[in-house]
Amino acid sequence: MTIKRLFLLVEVLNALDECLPGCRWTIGRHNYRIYPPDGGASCRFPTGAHGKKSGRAEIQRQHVQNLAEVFGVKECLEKALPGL
Amino acid sequence: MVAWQHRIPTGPVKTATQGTEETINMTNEVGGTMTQEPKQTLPLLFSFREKVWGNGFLAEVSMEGRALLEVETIDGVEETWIKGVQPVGIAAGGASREEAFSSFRKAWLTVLFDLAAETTNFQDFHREVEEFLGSRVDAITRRWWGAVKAVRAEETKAPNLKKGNANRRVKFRVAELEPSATMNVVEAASGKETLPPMAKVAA
Repeated sequence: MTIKRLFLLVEVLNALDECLPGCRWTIGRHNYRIYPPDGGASCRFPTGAHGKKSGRAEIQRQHVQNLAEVFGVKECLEKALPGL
Repeated sequence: MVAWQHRIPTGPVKTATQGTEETINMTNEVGGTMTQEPKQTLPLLFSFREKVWGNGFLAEVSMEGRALLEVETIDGVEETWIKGVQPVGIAAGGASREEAFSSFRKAWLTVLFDLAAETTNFQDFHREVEEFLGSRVDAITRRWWGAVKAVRAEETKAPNLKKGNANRRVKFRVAELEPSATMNVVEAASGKETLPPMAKVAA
């Protein structure tokens, strides 16, 4: 099994498009906030220092795993994001 | 005061939720093989209280919440991650339990900062913060209770950690402070913390 420590935000958002279409996201001062389409609990990633607006920000694997669990799309995200 | 003075023992352990032992071989981005030993999961209770400046208001937010602590060892290096159960949707990690807990507290606080920056009055802030602090997902709450069961059955060891009552209800409060309290915040900022973080293993 191959794992990655970091994922680009844009990769995560593209994978979410596949697994849970209709998600939207916003950028706060400290966190990205990802909203599920059904209005359930949202999920947050720290923005970090780089690539905030370009989608090139790097997100640690465990944050993505947490999102997958919160949104109930673990299996799909693991397929869409090899290395998760 | 957080009573985390020793690291959780490393080596293969049973996961709290699945009760299975497994070793997963992994490869990092540059192709080196890594070995991930199974996670250890601990259910945590935490208590936070912080003052937050917003647009034209000062608020105090306190919470007694729940989180899951997960330890994984990758290629011999231990990492600890703490994931929110209530509130859900935040996570933070570190090389040790102390570092992970400190990062988790900071993550919790940065959400309050974001909400303070995004709202224009206390009423809106109050509503948004209550939505955040009250957020939970049934599947993760069930996993937390599974971890509690493992601690109670002594399948999961939590050496040197204080234990707390897992049945403690999640509570939170968002209060607007009067200007007089502002002076206390300024004083607190220059000295000690307003309230030290507390964390216990739920049992």
